[in-house]
Amino acid sequence: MVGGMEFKPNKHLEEWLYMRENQAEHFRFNKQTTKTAVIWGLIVPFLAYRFIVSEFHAQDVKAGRPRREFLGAKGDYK
Amino acid sequence: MISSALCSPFNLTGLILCPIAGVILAGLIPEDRVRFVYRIGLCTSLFTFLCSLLFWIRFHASTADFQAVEAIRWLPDSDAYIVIGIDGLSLFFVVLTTFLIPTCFLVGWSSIPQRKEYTIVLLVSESILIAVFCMLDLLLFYVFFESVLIPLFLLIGIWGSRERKIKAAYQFFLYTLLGSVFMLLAILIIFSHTGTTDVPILLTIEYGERRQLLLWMSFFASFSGKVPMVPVHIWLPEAHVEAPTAGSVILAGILLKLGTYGLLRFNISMCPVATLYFTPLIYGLTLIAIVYTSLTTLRQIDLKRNIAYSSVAHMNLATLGMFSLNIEGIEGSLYLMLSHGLVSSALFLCVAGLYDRCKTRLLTYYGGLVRTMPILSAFFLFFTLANMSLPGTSSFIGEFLVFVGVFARNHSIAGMGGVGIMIIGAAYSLWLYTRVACGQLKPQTLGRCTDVQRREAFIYLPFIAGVIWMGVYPDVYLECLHASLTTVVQQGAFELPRSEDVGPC
Repeated sequence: MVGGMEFKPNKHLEEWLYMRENQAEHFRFNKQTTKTAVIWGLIVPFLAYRFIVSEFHAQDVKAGRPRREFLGAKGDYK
Repeated sequence: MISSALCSPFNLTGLILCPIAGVILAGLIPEDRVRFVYRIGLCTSLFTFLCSLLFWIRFHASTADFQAVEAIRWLPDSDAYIVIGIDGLSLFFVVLTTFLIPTCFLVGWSSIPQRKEYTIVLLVSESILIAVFCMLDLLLFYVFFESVLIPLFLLIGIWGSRERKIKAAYQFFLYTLLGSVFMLLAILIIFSHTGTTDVPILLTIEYGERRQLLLWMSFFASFSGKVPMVPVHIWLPEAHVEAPTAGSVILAGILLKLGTYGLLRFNISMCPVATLYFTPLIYGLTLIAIVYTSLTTLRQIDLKRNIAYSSVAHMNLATLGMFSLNIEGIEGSLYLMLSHGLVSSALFLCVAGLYDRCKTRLLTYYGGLVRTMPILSAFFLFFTLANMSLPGTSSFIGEFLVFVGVFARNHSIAGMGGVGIMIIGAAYSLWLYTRVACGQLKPQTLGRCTDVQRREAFIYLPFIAGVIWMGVYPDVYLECLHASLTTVVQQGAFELPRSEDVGPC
């Protein structure tokens, strides 16, 4: 055991930590949380994906070659 | 290719069995001499490390072929062989594994109960991890890939710190096992198609497009959980927080690399058409992971959870670099993984040093560490700076090469990844350090703590040497990687076709 000292936990801090750690148990879907989940869990990733695909297709067009096919995005060849 | 497998530590079979010899020795020692067991464990792991260095010294960097290949007949009167060997992709993961295991023994020197069992679990996990990286048979790769879960499940479940360890151990086990079912399906498809599970042969076979897509998705389902990629990353912070320090070191240092190693070895090398088809998906997932987990890191209040989320971000950056599908990006990705194996493990060791003294990982209890523990603060600062890729450290080389590779593929993605990992990464790293080390001293937690002892300094120094060496002289590592990666990229034909090659739209 390395040199340390007796740890005296702060009851309020420990309760706060417990609450933070167990957020999943207290989580409920309501209007606000559903909206947040849909935006950050579905819409943003979907838009990010579409943006990346469009970037690749823009590269193809700029290079004068047919657009590639990706998951969920038809191209001129695979 | 078939050679006689004499069990010498100077061939791969011997290297894999070296820790098992330590397990047998440890098992023979009576219970009342447990300290001796621990020394046996440490000596065995150090010997294994030295033996693994021999493979590095004898490695021919100029060839992409598998080296030190051995084939051991495991069913008499049949053609069933265990084939093992190393190439540039696996060499450094073997060395990293053997480097980190002695550290796991040293860090638990004074605080681990049930030392005999602990020694056995660590040595068994070392043996399995070396075997995974050396295995050149797909089915046996799968067997060892899954077997790693057992010692780590025990490590978290038995030597974890709190009641939640059981939940964390199950979560870790189930998340990683669930995806692996799909890999078994892929192996069955491959075997029915080719009649072999020999990896060097499989790497030369061209599969049809639909079959590639199916195989790619099956492998990806297995490896994405290990990386871990969003949204199957939840097990990692939980496992890190509940695991003992040795568990965290193995998780961050080696286990996560199994996922990216699998992606490179099987997804990219065996299914190049599917890899190109799914590249935007990987970019999307990794970018989301980098930005989301970096932001999540900013609001963590547990020291270990903070480093765990940072690990997720870095491993996703490594995956992003890997799917740039050019030599710079993949080299950077592997380099970043090796660097991450050192830096994040060292950060967990720093946290262990704090936890041993203060018995809490809650950030709110810390402050002013530099006043009572200046040497530990200096070590912590060094690894924090390495985590945010300060030039001169190993992470800088890795990230730089990753961004060179990704930038060549797509400027915008490189920009978004850069924002996530460099700006937010610097923010959470500095925020963590300043919260712990700077500001007013919190005497109720850190008032009478002693600074690092000699044993602890011996643990940190090899990490510092490794990080600086990799940071200032990367060529030693990169030249060993280059030939193997060039073959992967050339065989995959990932270069974009010119318009005249594919005909008119």
